[in-house]
Amino acid sequence: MPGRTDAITAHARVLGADAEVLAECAARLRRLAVRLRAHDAAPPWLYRTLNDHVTACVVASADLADASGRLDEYAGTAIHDGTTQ
Amino acid sequence: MTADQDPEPAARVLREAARELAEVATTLREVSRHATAAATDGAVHGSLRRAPAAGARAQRAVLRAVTDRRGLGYSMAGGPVGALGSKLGGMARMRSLAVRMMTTSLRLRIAAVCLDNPELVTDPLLARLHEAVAAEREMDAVRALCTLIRNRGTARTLSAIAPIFGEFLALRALLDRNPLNDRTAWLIASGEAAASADPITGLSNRAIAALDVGEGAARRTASDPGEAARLGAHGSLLDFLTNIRVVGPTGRALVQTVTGPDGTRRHVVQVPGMRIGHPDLESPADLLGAFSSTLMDSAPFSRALAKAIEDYGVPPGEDVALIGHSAGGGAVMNLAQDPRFCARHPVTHVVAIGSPIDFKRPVSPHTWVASITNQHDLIPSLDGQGAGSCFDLHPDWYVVDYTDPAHVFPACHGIDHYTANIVEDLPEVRARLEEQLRPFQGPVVRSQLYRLYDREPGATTTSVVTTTGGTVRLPLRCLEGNALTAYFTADPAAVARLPGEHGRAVRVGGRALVALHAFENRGTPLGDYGEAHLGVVVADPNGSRPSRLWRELLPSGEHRGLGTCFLRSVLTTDRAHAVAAEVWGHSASVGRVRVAGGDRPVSMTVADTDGTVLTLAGSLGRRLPFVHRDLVVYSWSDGIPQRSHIQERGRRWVHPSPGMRLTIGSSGHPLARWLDALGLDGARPVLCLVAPARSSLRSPAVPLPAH
Repeated sequence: MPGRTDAITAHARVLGADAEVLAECAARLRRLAVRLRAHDAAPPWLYRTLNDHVTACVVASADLADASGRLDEYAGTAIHDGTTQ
Repeated sequence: MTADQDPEPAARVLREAARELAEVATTLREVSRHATAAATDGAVHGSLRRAPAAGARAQRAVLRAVTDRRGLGYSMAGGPVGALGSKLGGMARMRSLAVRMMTTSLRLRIAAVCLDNPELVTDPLLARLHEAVAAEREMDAVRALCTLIRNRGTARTLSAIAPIFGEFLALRALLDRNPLNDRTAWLIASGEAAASADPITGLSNRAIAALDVGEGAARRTASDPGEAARLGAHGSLLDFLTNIRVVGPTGRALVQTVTGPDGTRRHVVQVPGMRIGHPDLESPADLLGAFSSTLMDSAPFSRALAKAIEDYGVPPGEDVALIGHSAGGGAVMNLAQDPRFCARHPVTHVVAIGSPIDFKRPVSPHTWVASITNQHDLIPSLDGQGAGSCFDLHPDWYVVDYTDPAHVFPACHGIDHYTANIVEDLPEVRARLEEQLRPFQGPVVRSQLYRLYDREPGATTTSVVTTTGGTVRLPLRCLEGNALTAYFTADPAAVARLPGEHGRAVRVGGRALVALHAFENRGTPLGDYGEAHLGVVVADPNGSRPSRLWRELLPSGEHRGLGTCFLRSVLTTDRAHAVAAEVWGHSASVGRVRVAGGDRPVSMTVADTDGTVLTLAGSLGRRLPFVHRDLVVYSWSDGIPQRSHIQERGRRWVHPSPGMRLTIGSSGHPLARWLDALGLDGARPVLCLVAPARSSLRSPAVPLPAH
């Protein structure tokens, strides 16, 4: 079933790249929070909300990286088992 | 009053932050789509037998990624499963990180607008509404809105919340349980496209806009003496705005030619806004026209304007400026983004006042576009982008979004108010517009008013026509009679093989619809007579888009494209035959037509001197009352399609499962031969319509213009 394992590998690659994208999003939001923290016009709720978003992006990045790794492992095992059977 | 060309730095900072958050939210949604695709891909499940332990771990990890409340949240998105999951999540108020991020962006946009409009924060009722929406307290928000309306009235409430109306609706739509409005809320919040649905109910605006059908038409019309005196004889910004005010929202437009300062002839099209009142299915500038001009790239309004300009005779290659107010602004922008129109007429300037045109794009990068909007005017934000927008959608346009808390909607939407603001309160805006429109300043050398229509209008007055059978007054009135119509399905290829032109047959389930009409008419100017017609149900011969049956059934006959092309007709008197052939262009002959029974069972018999042409007999079966619709009739004369319609009055029944059968007689009449060619000998109709007692009015045939 090389088609299936190729698809799983492709998902793993995309989710791995997305994990990095979310890490960049977290960094971007952190910079935004720092920039706005010192600004008078920023609403009082903003800083805490942005921090929550940063945390969520970090967690999501980790989740995606884990999912990517698991899918890679899954594809590798499926290929290996397919060839040895 | 302030023009929002250089907003306060603080508001700009917040808008910039809102834009960044919207970008991150859009990225998060894309990531969610990828993760949902991995979670729902059959390939991932398909290899479980080979590696069950690793597969289960991978599936758990992917599922966690799309459901982790601390991470992406409940983030099913994309594909059929993702879309369903997303809707279910919305109903259960399980939010994704993308939605949470976008609501933060919207709250920042509202905060930015509040800096320019401090009354939004200082007014306790408005503040209560704002807080309730932001805190997802739906009932509190409804109560706050009701209190506002009770205390201030609807007009003042709408005026007060107008600057944040788009954000307010989008925020509410993202946070409520209704999954149908989530997409339009996202479009408003992300600035990706025009709002495609009502943000409250989720009812598709495009579905409403799609009801606005017609090829567009324009007729020259005279201004009344009072108007003529007030229409400008000189071309200038103020004159153009005054002209729009004089013409008013009456479904008309003005085309003028001016001689510019350099002696060059140029043309200015001036288009007022929506015609006041209910959709009238006649004017393209009605409520439906306003919707379709905002949401569609081409609509009857802009097509009617193009026809007015062609009729006016603007020479190809000469400069054209388009100036529109309200829905007129959307319509002129549609012209500016029509490649065919712009290839003939270079549109050098577009000035849209109080118009929702954020998602329009002129064809030519050389077209100078100005959009003038009042932040308290709700109409420009109907495409989803208002005062709080954080997206610079048109860096190359001249965009003025000014605020004046003294204005009350809908008064502030009027062309009078916009003109007063531009002329008296916004001198720098007036100066810029006048400078840009300088080539169009000069004496008006020609001026023509046009009345705009959805479709080519039929004759509305009576006329007397002479035929070989004598004179007849049109429209032709029948005081009483009865009618039976039977619809059959036939092979479209067989229909296409029939001789002569009959247009594009409408298909239902892959089959063409063939109609047999029999009318008995009494008390007509032609005397008593009967008529039978074999026809094919066809789409609008000039329709540029494929016909949608449901949409075409809605307008009245005069404005509908869907109709029946009469292929062969039998009339019972020489005079009626002459009128059918010479007035309506039918291939007709004289014979006998009889509708017997009147109720159930019933029979229709058509015969000529050669014998019986056809007999349709049997039980009509169950009946249901039928909403009365006019019949649109097409015929061809010298290759040009002609349209007329038959207005009917009287109770009508539909029989959805008739037990009748058609028998073709021994006559060699073409009607019999064609029924045979269609394979209808012995066929049962799929539907019958019966009008046991009716009166009717048939309009003259109007040639449709070449398309």
